[in-house]
Amino acid sequence: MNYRYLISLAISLVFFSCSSVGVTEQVSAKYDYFGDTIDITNTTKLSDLLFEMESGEDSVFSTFSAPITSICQKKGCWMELDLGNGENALVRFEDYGFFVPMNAVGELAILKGAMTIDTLSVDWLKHQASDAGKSDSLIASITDYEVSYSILASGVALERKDENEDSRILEE
Amino acid sequence: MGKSLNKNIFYFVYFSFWTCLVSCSSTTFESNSTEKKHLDLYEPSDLANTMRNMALDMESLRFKVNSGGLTIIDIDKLISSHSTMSTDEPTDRKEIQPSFQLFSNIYIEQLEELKTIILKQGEIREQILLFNSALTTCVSCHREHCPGPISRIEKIKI
Repeated sequence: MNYRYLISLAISLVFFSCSSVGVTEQVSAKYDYFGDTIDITNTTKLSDLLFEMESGEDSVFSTFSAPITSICQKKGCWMELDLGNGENALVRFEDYGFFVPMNAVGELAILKGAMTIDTLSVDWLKHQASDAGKSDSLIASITDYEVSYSILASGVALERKDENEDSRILEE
Repeated sequence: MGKSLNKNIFYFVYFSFWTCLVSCSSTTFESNSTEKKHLDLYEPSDLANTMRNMALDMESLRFKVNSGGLTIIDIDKLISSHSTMSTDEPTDRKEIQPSFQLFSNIYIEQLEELKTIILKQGEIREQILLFNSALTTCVSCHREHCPGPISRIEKIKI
């Protein structure tokens, strides 16, 4: 009877200690911040902001999250986010004051900023295509401006990456 | 016999507990030690660094220009540190158009002109005009090379 009592006590302690560590790890997910260190505890989805814009707002200011679909491959000075409707929103950074890592495509970005509808000039679109590594013929074929959702961000947070994962991406 | 078995079980349970605890803690340690910042961040080129300094210099002189406090020393400092842009290594040499050298020369000439106006004790209005013209040259150059910083440069204008 005593043995059973001791064994079950030990098993309980072991499970308790291990599961506590697990919970701590989950809660303490770490982020890298670019630009302002933004508060990421209360965020909305970018697709929800889109709904507000479609309801007639000229601009919406919020802290929101969305997956990154592309990033400037020269400097990381702009990125595009998935709006969830087959379109992308262009993100630029306040006062050209900070850049994001060029290998963060596919990650979930949390950012604080203002979303508007913007007219992207031919010069800008050519520059963007060049930064994204598009071919000369594709860049030359850009002859018309685009009206697109545009975001000016004051800060971006990306979940901190594992070193091994990072090396793997760089090797690719 | 019973006491010895009791003792053995106690040690077995005691060591199992600590082994697990230590292994759990080392998992945490390992997970923390492999956490690393994003690696693929842009390392600014010499030209990018010069241009960042140019923006900071012009921002810091904005008030002086507007209040008529600009001195020859201020302009000489600008000319000396900004003129390296024509030889600094850019992020991507392929992107540098032939017009870059021209814009770079015009910008330095405008600063020299600003110096002449200060020497002649010209009006503040004239100084502001030349300060803004120098910034317009920067904007024109960025339109052809890299439009990203244009909004920041426009904000410096008086």
